[in-house]
Amino acid sequence: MASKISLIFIPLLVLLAIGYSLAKKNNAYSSFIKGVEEGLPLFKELFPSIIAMLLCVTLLKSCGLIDDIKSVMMKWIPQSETIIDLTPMILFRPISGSASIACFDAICKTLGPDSFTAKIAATIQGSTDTTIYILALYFGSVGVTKWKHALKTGLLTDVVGIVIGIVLAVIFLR
Amino acid sequence: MNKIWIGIILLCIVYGLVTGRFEAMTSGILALPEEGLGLVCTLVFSACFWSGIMTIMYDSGLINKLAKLLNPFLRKIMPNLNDDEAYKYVAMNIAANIFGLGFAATPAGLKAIKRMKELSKEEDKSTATNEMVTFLVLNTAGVTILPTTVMAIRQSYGSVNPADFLILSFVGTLASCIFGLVLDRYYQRKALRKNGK
Repeated sequence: MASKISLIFIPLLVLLAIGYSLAKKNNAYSSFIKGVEEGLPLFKELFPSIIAMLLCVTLLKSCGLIDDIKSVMMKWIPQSETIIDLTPMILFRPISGSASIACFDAICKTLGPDSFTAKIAATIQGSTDTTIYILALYFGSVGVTKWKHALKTGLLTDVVGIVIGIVLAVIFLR
Repeated sequence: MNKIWIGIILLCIVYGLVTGRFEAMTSGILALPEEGLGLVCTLVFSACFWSGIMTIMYDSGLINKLAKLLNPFLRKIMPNLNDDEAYKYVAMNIAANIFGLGFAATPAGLKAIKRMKELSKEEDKSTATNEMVTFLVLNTAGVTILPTTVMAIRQSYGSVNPADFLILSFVGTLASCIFGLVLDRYYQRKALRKNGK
């Protein structure tokens, strides 16, 4: 049910964009071309940090550290597999968007994009953001050094987002 | 970031060498550039596409309309801001965030916080104002309704239905935003009480 409703989101959105543009007598085609072009410089911006973070993620996986932690943990708590698979992504999430996306990519690659873990991961990605990075970027840009309660509020909110993401996915996508 | 990056790499390589996983590490490192290219392509192409859709909505005035709809809500959560320019930038930032377009959201967001700093009534200008904190809490809670990058990655690995979590992540976003705003208000009140004493 949840996934059925989700399905109509994207076609509807594209329809809304084009329909509204038509109603306002705008040139939708040239707007689209312009917008796509504006996204291209992102390649140069993203590539270095993705490669850097992928190095961390690849090593974490291939050196066996995560597998070893996993097998030790699973002896004690057999249900913890999913949580351990998600842990690197969750830990990276507040610091670096590139790193947590690289982790998400690794989850999709090893467990499959439709695995239960990947679905939880997707829900978490949608309901959290790179808290520490955002705060540092925005406050840094205007020279604000005293953040008041921004950091603890942001991080607690992320924790809540993660818990909600897991709970929702467990209930509806299992 | 530098320390974390170096720390993880050193830890992994030493651990891998001690436990004798030379082969896995070597092939992992050698496969990395191509894998990175694939991932970046997925991300950038998807961002380009959604940027195109968003530009259609922007040029036709739909985003502005959305920003106007958000306006009363923003006035409610940031009542002391009282500045049309700042509200406009905040609304544009959130509208772009809704579509998961972080790179389009950031310029508007930076303008918003710059304007907030100009309006700052704090004695010490290096202290965050309450409005700044509220705005950033909203940003860090991830107001994303359409996590386009996540869907693109799932699609690239052949997912049957890459959008099946949308409604869940929408509910999750909504809940974490509300939680963030409530918590923010709580800390504001607490600080106020402390200063009052």
